[in-house]
Amino acid sequence: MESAALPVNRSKGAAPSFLGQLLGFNVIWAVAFAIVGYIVAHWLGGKIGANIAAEQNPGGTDQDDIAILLGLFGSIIGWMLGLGFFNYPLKRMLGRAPSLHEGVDSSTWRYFRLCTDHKVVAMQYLVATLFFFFVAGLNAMFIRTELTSSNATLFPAGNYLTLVGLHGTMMLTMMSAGVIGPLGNWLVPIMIGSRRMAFPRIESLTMWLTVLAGFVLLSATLLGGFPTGWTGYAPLADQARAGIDSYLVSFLLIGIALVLVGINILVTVVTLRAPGMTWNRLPIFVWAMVTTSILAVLAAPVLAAALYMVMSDRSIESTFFISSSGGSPLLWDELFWFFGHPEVYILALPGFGIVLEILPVFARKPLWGYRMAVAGMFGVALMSFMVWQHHLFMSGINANLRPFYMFTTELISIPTGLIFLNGFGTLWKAKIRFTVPMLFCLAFFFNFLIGGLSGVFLSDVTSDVVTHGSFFVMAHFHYTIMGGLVFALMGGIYYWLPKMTGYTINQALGKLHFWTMFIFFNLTFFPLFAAGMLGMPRRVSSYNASLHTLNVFVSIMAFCLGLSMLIFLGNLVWSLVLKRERASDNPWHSKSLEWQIPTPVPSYNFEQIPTITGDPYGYGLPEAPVVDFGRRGAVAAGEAGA
Amino acid sequence: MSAHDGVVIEPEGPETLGANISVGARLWASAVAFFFMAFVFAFFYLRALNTAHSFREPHVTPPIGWGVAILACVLGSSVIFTLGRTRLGDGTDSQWRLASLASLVLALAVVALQIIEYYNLSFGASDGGLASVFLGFTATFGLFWLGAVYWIETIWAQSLRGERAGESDIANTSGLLRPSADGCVVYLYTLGIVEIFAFVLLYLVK
Amino acid sequence: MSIAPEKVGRDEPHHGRNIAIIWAIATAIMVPVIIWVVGPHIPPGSLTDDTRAQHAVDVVLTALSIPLLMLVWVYLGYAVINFRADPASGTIVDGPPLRSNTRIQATWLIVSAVLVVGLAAYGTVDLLTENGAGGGQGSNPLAKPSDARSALQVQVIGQQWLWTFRYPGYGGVETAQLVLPVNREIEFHVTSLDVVHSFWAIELGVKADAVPGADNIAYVKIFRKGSFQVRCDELCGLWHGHMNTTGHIVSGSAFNSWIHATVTKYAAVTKYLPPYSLTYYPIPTRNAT
Repeated sequence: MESAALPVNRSKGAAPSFLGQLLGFNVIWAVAFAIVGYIVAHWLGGKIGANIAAEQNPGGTDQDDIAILLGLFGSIIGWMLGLGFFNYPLKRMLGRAPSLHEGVDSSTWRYFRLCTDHKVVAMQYLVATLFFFFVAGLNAMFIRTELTSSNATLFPAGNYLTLVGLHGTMMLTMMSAGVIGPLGNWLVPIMIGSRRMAFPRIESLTMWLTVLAGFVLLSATLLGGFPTGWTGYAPLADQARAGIDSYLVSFLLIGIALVLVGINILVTVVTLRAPGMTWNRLPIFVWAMVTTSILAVLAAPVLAAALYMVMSDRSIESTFFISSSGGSPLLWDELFWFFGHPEVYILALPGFGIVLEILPVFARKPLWGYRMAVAGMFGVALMSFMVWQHHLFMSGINANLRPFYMFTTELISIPTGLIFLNGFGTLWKAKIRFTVPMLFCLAFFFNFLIGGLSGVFLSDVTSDVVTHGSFFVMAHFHYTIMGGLVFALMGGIYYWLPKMTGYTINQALGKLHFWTMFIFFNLTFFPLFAAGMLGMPRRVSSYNASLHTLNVFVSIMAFCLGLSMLIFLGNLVWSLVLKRERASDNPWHSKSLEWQIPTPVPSYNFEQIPTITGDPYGYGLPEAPVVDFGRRGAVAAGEAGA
Repeated sequence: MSAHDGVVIEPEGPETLGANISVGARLWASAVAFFFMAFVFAFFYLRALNTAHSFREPHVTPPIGWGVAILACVLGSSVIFTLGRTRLGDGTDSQWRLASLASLVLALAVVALQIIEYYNLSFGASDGGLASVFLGFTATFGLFWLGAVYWIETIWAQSLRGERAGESDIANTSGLLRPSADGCVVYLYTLGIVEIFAFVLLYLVK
Repeated sequence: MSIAPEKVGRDEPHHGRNIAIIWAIATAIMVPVIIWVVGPHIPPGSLTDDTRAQHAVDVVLTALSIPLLMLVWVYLGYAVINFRADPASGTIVDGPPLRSNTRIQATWLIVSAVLVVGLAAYGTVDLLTENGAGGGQGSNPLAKPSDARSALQVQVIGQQWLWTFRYPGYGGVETAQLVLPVNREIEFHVTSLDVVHSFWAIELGVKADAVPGADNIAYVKIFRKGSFQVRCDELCGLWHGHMNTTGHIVSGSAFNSWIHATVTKYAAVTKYLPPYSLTYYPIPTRNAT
């Protein structure tokens, strides 16, 4: 290297002054420019729409959609402009040399702008996804409130459907970013011994697009709501009022973010592994991120194309989904579920990864059947592209493929079952410590089993005739996604937050949160299996009066579940804001790489890229060094480094 | 954190960055391929269903002349860029500069031709399934093609400007030109195959 | 705190045997309970051939899932009770460094593969022998009943937010009332005029999406007289939750007299209807309120 070594702090001297930071690119300008962008593009779209309407369709109906869609895209451009995402591409267009760092300094402002430190991005992600998780959870509370009565309309019907749609879409989108965003971006580079993600600017972009997607989705409430739920079935989506445009743009943003975050993680894992980090030593959580990323990269583009088709139907009146003009609603069903089924595994696989990563630490045993766990995850990822038509068993598509899709759907339970075997092998003759993360992981198996077994009913066409599209399905996927992913995510948050923030999380409050969440989760969703089998369709505001008692019970339990989430929020505030007790470097005595570096983690992670000498699961072997920090590795490795 | 600010780390060499671009380009290409797979699927699906016998209205005949021109420019741009890349070197070779400029001009011509074609269509988006697929496929192809234009432009511009020491936190930035050009080729060929599909399906299949 | 390797215990209990015994006992108790106590109450009853098929499958699947459920619960419970670290001691004790066991893994894979293949085979045979079990089979059904030719054809038309029914065998008369004869094969043709709906009559065990421009066929044979609920099962807009109606099952002769009365009653209207067709293509509305 002929050029001089560079100091870590890239801001070329001291961080800019407060005024300098305020006037620089940050989220304040992003909001301002997004609003301006919306107004300008909406005006422009109105002009274009008026032209088209005048030319083709004198009684023009749809000029509004062109204006609104363009307005939303304008706000995306404004948002990115305000955050400074166009600076670097413009510099590259002018032929300037590439760089890896932007916006990295030690000021608080780095959390409010484009910052290429993967740990900063991860914290931004965490706050954003948790924020939207709570917003969507609040919607669920409203939905349950409406369902306390079998035939009343507490909310006007349109508002109720918008609540249902917001809850579903926001949970799906934010939770698909909920692990891969915060934990994936934070942990993957550190776990593989890298200083950064492969494309740090794209990493930041995905995070800010996710935030924008959440707010764009919320803007549907200002545009009249949308009646389609998260599945956005056409031609209802063609026919709906302008709120659906927000849904389309928001989902498109999430789709783009998913593709980019997937590419980023895959590239990082392929190219940036430290010396000695062979594929056999890769932590299982990283494998989970890899398989999730493969799904994201391949499935989300199909969603983007399908969303484009709806936008095209709505704005320029194409007829992809209008059967009277050569289109078909079934096209949406196929394309959406081709994305939609991998999407549910985008939600499930990170949960597997977190649980299998945490179990060995508190079982004090190596991860049992590591290779099989990896094979299981790849099996799930691969199979998930071959099962989507089980969402269409009743849809009237050609019935001949039904046995095939029934078979593939049941086949996917084999790789999923392997995850259970891994967990159980790890627990065998273990020395379990019942910390909060461990409790969540054990509950994961309890819940996910019920989710999985109910899936067998849904995969069997005969049984599915009853349960398809009913509350049974709703209970099923809440057991897999909330009981699986969200429980795992909570475990992951309690487990890694001390490392990520540098502060201890209160264990007593954590246990209270766990037990209330576990109990009320099951009491909320288990009765809903019965509601579905007794004939209650999803997304209704009125139902058979005989199911009234059941629904009131479920609603009360759901409110208790909501309170339990408030305990979680309270715990975070108490531990991270009020109490602020310093966490030690390795409070859980883990052997994993991320716990061997100092807390808080310096912005460059490792002074020198470490050499990996073993996998992170060497429990029970006193002489199992995991990492060699090299000559200059004067890092307190904690007791567990041994 | 400030305690560690005195730590000095070496700037990264181009090898890892090159590998990043190379792997990333292939993944991006696969994502793009899946995106257009949705449109290919839509074409065949709607054609097979032919609801209300309206998949192909009689007057929906995409102008094949413009189609051939666009296809030729897409493939020409890709091939010329690939040929130019063999002379890339450190980016100062005049043949490379000429070839990449020619590729860039052809790439821009694709966008221009596409817009002109839209003005010469005998049908609108509401005229049946094929019309919808045609407009959707070509418009999104245009969007992705703009990405290719941008990519070619940045490589060309960077090779014109040459390396300037101290501008970047990456050692030897000119070493990145080749992997970037390689990645661009992967992307261009992916789009080239997509365009061949588009041409055959939208203009030729009856 | 320090970390010590585990002292190898000589008098380790036979955990595997214990778990197997508890599991066997729990399963032996629970499976009969599921089949004979809970089973008869599993919806959707025994009104039609479809619901009987669905009920049978649900009982079989529930009974099959019990051993799995018990395996996981017993194992989890046993592990949580027996494999815990001693919280009193200040040291962290590691468990035995077991990495994998090929025999257990192979057994698990083989057992789950056999289960899955068996389930899929059972499901497929069931689907084919039970005439699609009441699910919408599209325009070209995979499994038809033997008496499909003489089946009563009923067209179900979904539109926002109303069900109507046409009887092509009776001049294509359209009514908002669904009346069906008992003990006769019925062939539903489900379609929609605007957006995707789903025709769900849980007591009949019939569910078929109503897709505009598509014809979705489902079969049912009803064994007893009575009435049943029809609900929309696919989100179709504002009043999706209120898109219900009540259908009636009557004797064959009562059905004949009802349908003839209906044909006469609506004769003046029927001639203005579009001729009976498997699909209809009205001009769609956009930006509806």
